[in-house]
Amino acid sequence: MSIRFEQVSKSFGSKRVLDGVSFEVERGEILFILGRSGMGKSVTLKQMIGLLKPDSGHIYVDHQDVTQLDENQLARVRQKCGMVFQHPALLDSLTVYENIAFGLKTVQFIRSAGGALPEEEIKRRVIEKLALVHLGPEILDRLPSELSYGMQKRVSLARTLAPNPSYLLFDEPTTGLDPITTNAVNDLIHDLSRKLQVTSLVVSHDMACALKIADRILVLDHGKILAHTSNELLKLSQEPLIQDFLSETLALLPPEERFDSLAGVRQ
Amino acid sequence: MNQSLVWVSIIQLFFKTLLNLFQPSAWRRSEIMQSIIQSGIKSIPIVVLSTAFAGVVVTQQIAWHMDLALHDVSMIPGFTGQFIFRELGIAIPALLLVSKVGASITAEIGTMKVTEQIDALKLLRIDPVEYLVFPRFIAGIVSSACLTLLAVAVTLCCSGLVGVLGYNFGILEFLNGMKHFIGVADLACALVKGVAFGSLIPIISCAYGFRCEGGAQGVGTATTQAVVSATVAIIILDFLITYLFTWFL
Amino acid sequence: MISIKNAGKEFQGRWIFRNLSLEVPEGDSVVLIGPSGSGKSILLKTIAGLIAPTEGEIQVSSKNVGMLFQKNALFDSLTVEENLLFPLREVKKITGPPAQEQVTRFLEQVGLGGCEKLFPDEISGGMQKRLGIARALIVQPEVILYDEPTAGLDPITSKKIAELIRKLMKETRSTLLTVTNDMQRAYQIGNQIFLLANGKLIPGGTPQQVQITGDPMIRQFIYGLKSGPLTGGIA
Repeated sequence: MSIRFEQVSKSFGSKRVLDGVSFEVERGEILFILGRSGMGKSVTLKQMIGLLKPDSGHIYVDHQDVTQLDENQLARVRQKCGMVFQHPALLDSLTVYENIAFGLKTVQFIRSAGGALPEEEIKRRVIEKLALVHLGPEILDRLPSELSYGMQKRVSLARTLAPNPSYLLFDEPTTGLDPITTNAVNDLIHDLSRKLQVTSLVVSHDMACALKIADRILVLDHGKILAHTSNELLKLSQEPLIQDFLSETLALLPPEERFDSLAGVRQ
Repeated sequence: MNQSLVWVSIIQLFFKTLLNLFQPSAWRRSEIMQSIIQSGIKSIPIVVLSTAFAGVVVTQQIAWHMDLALHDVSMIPGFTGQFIFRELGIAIPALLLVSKVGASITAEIGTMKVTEQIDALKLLRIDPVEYLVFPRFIAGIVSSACLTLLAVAVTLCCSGLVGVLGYNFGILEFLNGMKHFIGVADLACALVKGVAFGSLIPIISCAYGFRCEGGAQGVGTATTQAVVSATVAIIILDFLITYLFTWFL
Repeated sequence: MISIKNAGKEFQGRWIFRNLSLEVPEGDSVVLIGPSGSGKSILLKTIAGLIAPTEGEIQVSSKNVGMLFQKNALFDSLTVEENLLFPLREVKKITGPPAQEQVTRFLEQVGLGGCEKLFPDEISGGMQKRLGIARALIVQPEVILYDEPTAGLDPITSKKIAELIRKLMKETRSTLLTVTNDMQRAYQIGNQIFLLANGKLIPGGTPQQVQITGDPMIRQFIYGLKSGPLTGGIA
């Protein structure tokens, strides 16, 4: 087990967002966390890196209880967990190179790496990460405003990958994107996860994406786990919410793929 | 933002706003009142504080130097009175209004622009100039005129205090000394400046707000630029009005 | 009715779209889909009269056009009910108790009953969307433009919003033009679907027709296929 949630509960005012949630994430797996809008899904990710503290329960990352750590220790956990937010959030006055290299120049990183990296090494890493997200070194000197939204997303992903995290946390990576970009980003997540052998957690609304690349899917509803299982088994679930999610995704598949993938779903 | 283009749009906005004077629907009581409270009433504490401080310090300095150089303090009331009426009591509230009221108007309108609220108004066929600019324009004039008078009064009082407490003037003596050098023209000059600045600041601020682009960063940039432009405009206008008054009177 | 004839928009030396023609008959619902940056929002704003086209002719049968903006553009200094009372007062000249009554009824209809005195930043994203829709509709526009009405919302809420849009359209018999990236909503809301890509408008037909289309561009877009005429290189 690389991540373990134990009876985690969190409320915001009178709203119970997580209610005694317990689950484990296997090393190297891609886990999708799905559910309705509300704060439960993103809260899960944020608690893992200590941006939020649960009201009760424990969260173990590599056998360390992050709920008990102080800021210094948390900094090391954040080093290990690369979080990718929904919007690229690149610094607009810095070039692509400077944006990606940013994470390699923080005090935190230098401390954990035992010293600052030489500039050639930084450059090598930046180009390496750009290649991982299918972008070439010709964009290194460009500013974010000169790139398309899709490219900005890839650059922000490269930025997260620069410090070589062992966990990748994605907060709604494909929300609001058109179908082509959605699939491209989805494939990229799958690609990276396998290539780098990292553990990926993806918070999303998109059941179709989950069904395509997830190893397991966790469905949250009203603060509780409705399902935590593999794609295949999820398709057989009788829970109305899950059936709702599933039947919606049918329309997104080309007709010839429909019956195949979702056999077992009431039409 | 191209500076000359901005000034063109400022002048255009000024005239568009003036046209609303004849539009009954533009005279929205609650929006104007709210704006007067925001720009006028809420500025009273800072104006009083700053001008009191300025009045005391300036009078003290002038008096001290006069005493030292001329061994004659009889001119203090007249000298400080003129200075206060013509410059000190006017410039301070004006510059305070620029940074306090002007900046917040630009930020407010700018934020509305980048979140498309201005577009939403236009779609509801509500003229943004009528609804947003005009109330602030009227309120600006009223507030500035009143604050200018208040500032002048406060500075005069503090000046008098220095004279009475520091240089053995009697209160009546001090006032008479002032009367010799100050006339209705000075009061008129102060009021004209107050009205001029009060009308200019909202127009400049709104113009920059409407031209805002680019999200939060854009709003910040626009606000800074508006404050700088308004400050420059006030300094130039101040000089012009003083010149006009001294030349013609 | 919306009639667009050979419309083109140039911005900073680049043509965003050109020679665009589209007819939306009275009472019909058209959905525009297309890659981000293809100019869908700009086209919508041109129809709304907020931006002037560089060339071409755009005619809208009514001056009463309502629009739901992408980020709602709610008046954040006003409460939920004031956001509705304000347009009623300004556009329809209705004030006092009749206005209050209409507003309360409208809020109930969009499921925001009880939120009257709250401010927009105190309600959830889905509720803000519904308020945005209510504000656009309270002046009873004959033509309604929706810019990404379900962006950022989860599938269940999205479905409900689309149902609301559809229902209100039937009740008011208005003409709809919707821009969206969410194919499920496109099928739910539209009678006709068009793809705007590379500056051109490609008709897709009805939701049923579009899903079995042979057009390679449309196919690639709606199924998110990696390779095809829309993507020369990387997305």
